[in-house]
Amino acid sequence: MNIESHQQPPDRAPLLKVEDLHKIFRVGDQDIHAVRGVSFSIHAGEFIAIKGASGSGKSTLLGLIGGLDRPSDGRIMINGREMSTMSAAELAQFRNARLGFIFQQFNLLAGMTALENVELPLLYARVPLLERRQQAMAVLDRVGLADRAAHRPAQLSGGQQQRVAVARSLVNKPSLIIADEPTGALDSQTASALMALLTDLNDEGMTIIIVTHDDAVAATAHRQIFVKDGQIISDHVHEQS
Amino acid sequence: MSRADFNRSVLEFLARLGEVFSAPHLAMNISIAYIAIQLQVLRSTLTTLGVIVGVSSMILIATIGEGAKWKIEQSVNMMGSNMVILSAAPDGNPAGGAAGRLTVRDVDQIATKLPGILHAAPQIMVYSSLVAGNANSRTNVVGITDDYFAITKAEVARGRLLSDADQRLKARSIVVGATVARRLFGSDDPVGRSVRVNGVPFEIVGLLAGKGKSLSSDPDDTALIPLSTAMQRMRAAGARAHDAIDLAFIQFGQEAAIEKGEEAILSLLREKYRVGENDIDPFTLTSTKEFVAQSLSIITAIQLGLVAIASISLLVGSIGITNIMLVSVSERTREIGLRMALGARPVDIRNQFVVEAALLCLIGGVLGIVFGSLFAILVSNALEWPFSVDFPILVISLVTSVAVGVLAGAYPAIRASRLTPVEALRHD
Repeated sequence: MNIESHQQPPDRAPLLKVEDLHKIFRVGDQDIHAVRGVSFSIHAGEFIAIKGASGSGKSTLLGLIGGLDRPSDGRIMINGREMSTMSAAELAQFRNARLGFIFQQFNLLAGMTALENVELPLLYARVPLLERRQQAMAVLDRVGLADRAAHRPAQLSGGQQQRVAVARSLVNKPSLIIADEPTGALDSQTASALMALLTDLNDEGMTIIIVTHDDAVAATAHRQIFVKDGQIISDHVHEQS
Repeated sequence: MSRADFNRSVLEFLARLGEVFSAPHLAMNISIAYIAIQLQVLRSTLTTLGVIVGVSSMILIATIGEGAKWKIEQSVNMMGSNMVILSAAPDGNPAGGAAGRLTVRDVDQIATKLPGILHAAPQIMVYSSLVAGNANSRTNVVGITDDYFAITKAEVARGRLLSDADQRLKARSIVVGATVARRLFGSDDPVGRSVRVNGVPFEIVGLLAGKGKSLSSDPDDTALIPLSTAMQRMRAAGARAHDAIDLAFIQFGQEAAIEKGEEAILSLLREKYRVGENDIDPFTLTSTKEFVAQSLSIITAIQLGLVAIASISLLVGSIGITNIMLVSVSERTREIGLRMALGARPVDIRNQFVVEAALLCLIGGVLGIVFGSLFAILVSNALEWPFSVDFPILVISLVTSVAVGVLAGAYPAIRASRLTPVEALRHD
C-alpha cells in the first residue's frame, strides 16, 4: 500500500484540504471516535472513491467534508475557505454555492416534479423563476431527462430518479460533487449507467467524491481512499485507462 | 384541466405574484407551503377546523349584532328620533323603595305649558291575562290615547283603531297584535270576538298590522285599550293618584327642540314634586336617542362577550395547529435535512414552516368567512333583517387568522430550523 502515491503537481493549490480531522460522538456515556486524525487533499478534476465497510467512518467523513456536520477537531478547507469557523447560515450558503450532493435514497421531494426538484438549490440561491426554469431544464437535458421534467418522482424509475438527483447536484455549478453510495439503491445495470454518467461529468472537469463499499463502483474512480476504524489505511491513484 | 395541472398553475401564479412584488423569498415559501398543504388535504382541513369555527363565529356575531342594531334604529326611526319617553320609575336606585310618580295631569301640563311639543301620549301598561274560550295569552295591555297612534303610526290590518267615543265612554274595546290574535283564535278573524282581560270582558275592534320579528321581544305581542278604560278598570288599588300612569311618549316638532325640551320637562316636574337637589327623581326621562345609544351599547357589550368566546375557539385552534406542525416537522425531518444540504439556511427552514402555518390559518380564515357569512345569511333571512358584512371585520378576521398561524407555527418552525443537516438526513 503506497499511502503517499497520489502526488499532484506542486504548483496547483488543492480544491479540498483536510487536516487532522477528528469526530467524536457521545452515545450514552461512551465516546465513539468515528474519525481519528484524517488528513488528505483533493485537486480539481479528481474522481475519488472513499471505500470502507459499514461503520468504518466513511459516511461521517463525507458528512464533514460536505459541511453537513461539524468536526470535533481539525480543519477542512475548500477553495481556500475554512469551513469549521462558518456559522450555520454561512455554511448553508457555502454548500449551496460550492457543493452538489447525491444520496443513496435519491432524496427527491415527492410533491414536486423532476424540474422543481432540480430547481431547489437555485431557489435557495435566490435565482429568479424564469432563469431557474431554464437552468434546471438545461441540466435535466444534460442527464437525458428533459422529457420527464413534469413527472413526479413516483412516476420515474430508480435510475431516472437518481439522474434527477445528479441534475440537482449539478444545477448550481458546484466545485465538488459529493455522492454517498449513489448506486446503493440501484440494480447493477442502472448502477453502471449512472457511473458512466458520473465519469462523463468528471471527464468534463467536475471533481467528484463518491463513498461506496462496492469495489466495482470504486474501480470507476481514478483514486481510491480506503477507510477503516476512522483512519485512512490506503490512498492510491489508478493508472488512467 | 387535471388537478396536478391546476396546482401547477396556482404555484406558477403565486411564484410570479411573489416576484412582481419582488419577494421571491416569500413566494418560494408560499409555494412550498402550498405543496405541503395540498398533499395533506384532509389533515390540513381538520387542523384548521378551530380557526374555521373561530372566524365563522366572529363573522356571525358581527353580522347578527349589526342586524340587531339596525333593527333597533329602524324601530325607533318609525317613531321618530324627536321623542322622549317619560316613565314613572325612580331615576336611579331609590333608597327605601320610593315609588315613581307620573300622572295624566303632569303630561297635560307639559303639553300645554311647554312650547314645541307635537304630541304627548300618556300610557298605562299592565301585564295581563287575556282569555278567549280555552285559549289564553299573557300580554302587556297598554291603555292609550289618540296621541299614541299619532306618534307610533300604528295601523290596523282589520277592523278599526280606538276612537274618541271609546275614550269618552270608557269602552271595553281592545285592539290586539297579531301574536295575541294567533294565540287566542288561531287563524280565525279576531275582530268582533270577545276576550276577557283579567276577567273583564272586552270586544276586539281591530287587529294591528304586523311589525315583524326582533331578537328579544315580539312587537306583535301587545294589546291596546282606551286609557280612560285602563284608568278605571286596571289601576291597582293603592295607586298614588286616580290618574297615575306608567309612561308617556312626548314628541317634539323638531329634533333640535329636544334638548331644551328635556330640560323644561325636568324642571317642571321637579318643581311640581318638590325634588331636592340631591334627591332622586321619582320619574325617568329617556330620549329615543339615548334609548338607542343604550341599546346599542348593550348589544356591543354582548358582542364583545361573544367575541371573547370565539377567541377561545381560535386559541384552541392555534394549539391544534402547533401540534400538527410539530408532527409535520417530525415527519419531514429528512426533507428538512435535504433542504439544508441544498443550501437552505436555518432561517429559510424557520420561515418555511411559519409561512406554512400562516397559510393554513389563512385558508381556515377564508373558509370561516364563507361559512360564517352563509350562516349569517340564513339567520338574517329568518329574522327578515338585511344581511351585510363590514369590510373591516373581514380584514380583522384574516389578519387574526394569519397572526394565529404565525404564533402557532413559531415554536415548531424554530425547532425545525435547529436541526443539524446530517442528523436530519439520517432520520427515517
